[in-house]
Amino acid sequence: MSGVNKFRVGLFMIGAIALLVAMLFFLGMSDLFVHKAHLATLFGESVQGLAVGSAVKYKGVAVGTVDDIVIQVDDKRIRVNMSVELNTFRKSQSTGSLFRNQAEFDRFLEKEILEGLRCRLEYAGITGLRYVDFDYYAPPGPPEEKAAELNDPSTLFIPSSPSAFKDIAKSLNTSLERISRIRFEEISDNLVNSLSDINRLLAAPEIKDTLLHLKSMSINLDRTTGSINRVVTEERLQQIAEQTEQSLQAVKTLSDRIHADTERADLPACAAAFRDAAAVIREAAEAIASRRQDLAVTMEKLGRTLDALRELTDTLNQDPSALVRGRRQPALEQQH
Amino acid sequence: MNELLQEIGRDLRRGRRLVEFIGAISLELWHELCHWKKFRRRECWYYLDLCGRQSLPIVLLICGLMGMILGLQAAIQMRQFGTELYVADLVGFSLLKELGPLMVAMIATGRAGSAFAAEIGTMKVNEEISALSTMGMSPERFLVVPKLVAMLVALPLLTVFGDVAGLLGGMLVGVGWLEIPVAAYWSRTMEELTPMTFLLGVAKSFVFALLITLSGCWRGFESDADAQGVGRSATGAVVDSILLIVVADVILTMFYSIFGY
Repeated sequence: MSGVNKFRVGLFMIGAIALLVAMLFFLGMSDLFVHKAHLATLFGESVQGLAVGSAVKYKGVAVGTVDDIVIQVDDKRIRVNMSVELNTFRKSQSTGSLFRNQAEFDRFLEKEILEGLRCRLEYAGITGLRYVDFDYYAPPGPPEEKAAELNDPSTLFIPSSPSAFKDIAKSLNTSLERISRIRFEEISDNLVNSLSDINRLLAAPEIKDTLLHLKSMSINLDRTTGSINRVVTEERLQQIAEQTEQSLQAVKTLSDRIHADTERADLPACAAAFRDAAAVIREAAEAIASRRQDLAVTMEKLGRTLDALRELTDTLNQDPSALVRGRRQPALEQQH
Repeated sequence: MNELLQEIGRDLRRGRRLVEFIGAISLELWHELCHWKKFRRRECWYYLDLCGRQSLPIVLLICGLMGMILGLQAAIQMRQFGTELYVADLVGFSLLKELGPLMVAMIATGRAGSAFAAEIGTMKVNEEISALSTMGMSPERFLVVPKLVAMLVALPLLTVFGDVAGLLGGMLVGVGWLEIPVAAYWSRTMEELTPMTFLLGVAKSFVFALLITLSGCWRGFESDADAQGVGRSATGAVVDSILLIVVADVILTMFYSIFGY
C-alpha cells in the first residue's frame, strides 16, 4: 500500500472531475449563461406530436424550445409556452446578440407580428414529432388574435396560424361536402334515360344508312390516299425538297446581294439627294404655278396673233393687192 | 428431504449473516462519517489507484470500442433511410444512459470485485480477520469501508471517462466512415443529450460501485478457509456482481422511466 503514487491518482481524479464539468457544460449547463426570452401562443387545433423540449424554429433555424403545454379549459385551446435564445438573432454586420433583454426582443417581435409573423405547427419528419415554426404566414397587418386572449399581460403573445395539415384537411372536408351535395340518383336516372335514347337512335335506319355511307367514304378515302401515295413518291418529295432548298438558297443569295447593294448604295446620302431633288422639283412646280397665269395670257395673245395672221393670210389669198392698196371697205360701208 | 432442509437452513443462516454484514457496513460507514479524521485514507488511496487509475486504460479502450461498434451497427441500418446523422443520437443516448455505466461496472467487477474477494478470502485463510476480531477491531471498518469509499469515488469518475471515450468512438465512425462533418456530429450530440441524461447514467455507477464492493467483500468473508475456496469466492464475486448490476440496471431504468427520463 505504500507504493501508491498519489500524484497519478490525483491526476486521475482532477482529470475526471474536469471532464465531468466539461460534459455538463457542453450538454446544456451552458444554457444557464444564455439570455432567453419567453413567449406563448394558442393553438385551436390538436398539438399531437408536440412535447416539452420540442424545437422552436424561426424560418427553419432552431432558436429555442417548448417549455410548457397546457390546456385552457375556458376556450378549449392549447397554450404553448416557449423560450427563445436571444443570441441567435444578430445584425448582418454584427457578431454580438441583437437583443440584450426581453423588452428589446418583445419590441422586435411585435413589429414582426404586424409584418405577418405567425407560428405554426410543422412535422419534424416521418416520426410524427412536431415543432413550432415562426414564419411570415399571414399578410401584413394587425393579427386577428389579440394578446388579451392569453390572459397574461407579462408574457408576449404570438398569434398562431393553422398548420398545413389542417389546411389540407379543411380543403378535403370542403371537397367531400361538395361531393355529398351531388345528386347521384338524379344523375343516374338521367344517364339511364340518355342511354335508352342513344340505343333507340342507334337502332334507327338513318344511322345505318349513314354508317354505310361512311364506310363507302372510308373506302374512297383509302383509294385517294393510295393514289396520292403513288403520285407523291419519296423521290418526288425529295426532289421538291431539293428544289425548295435551292429556291431558298437563291432567295438567300438574292437577299444577301440586296443587302450588300443596299449597304453600298449609301441610303442616307441617296435619301438626302432625293430630298434635295424633291425640294427643287417642288420649287420648280411652285415657279411653274406662278408663271402659269402669265403663260395663259401669253398663249391667249399668241392665239389672237395667230388669228390675225390667219385673217391676214386669208385676206392676202383673196386679194393679194391688198398688200399694196390696203384692205377694201365692205359694200355696206360703200353705201354709207 | 433432510438434506434439503439442511440446505435451506444453511441459506437462511447465510441470509442472516448477509443482513448482519450490510448492517455492520452501514454502522461502520456512519461511524467513519462521524469520525472522518480517523478515516484510513492510505488504504482509500490504494484502492482508488487500483480500481480507478489503473482501470482507466482498459475503460477507455473498451468504451471507445463500444462506441465504435454502436456507431457501425447504427450506421448500417440508418444508411438505408438516409438518416446517418442520427447515429450521433443513438450512440450518445445508448452510451450515456446504459452502456457506459454498465461497461465500466463490468470492467470494475472483473478488476476490483474479484480482487476484493480474493484479498479478504486470503486474509481469512491466514486468519488475519480472526486476529482483527480478537484484537477488538472491526474487520468491516478496516477492510470494507476504504474499499467502498474508493469505489464510490472511482466508478463514477471512470464512467465519465468511459462516456467520453464512447462518444469519441462513435464520432470516429460517424466522421471517418459516414463522412459526417465533425461540427455536425458534435452539434447533433450536444443538441440531443442533456445534462440529466449524463448525470443519471453517472448516478447508476454509484449503485453499481456499492453492489460490486459489497458482493466482492461478502464473498471474501464467506470464503472457505483454503486456496480453492478463495478462487471460488473470487469467481462467485464476479458472477454475483454481474447479476446484481444487471438487475439493478433494470430497476433503475424503470425508476427513471417513471419520472420521464
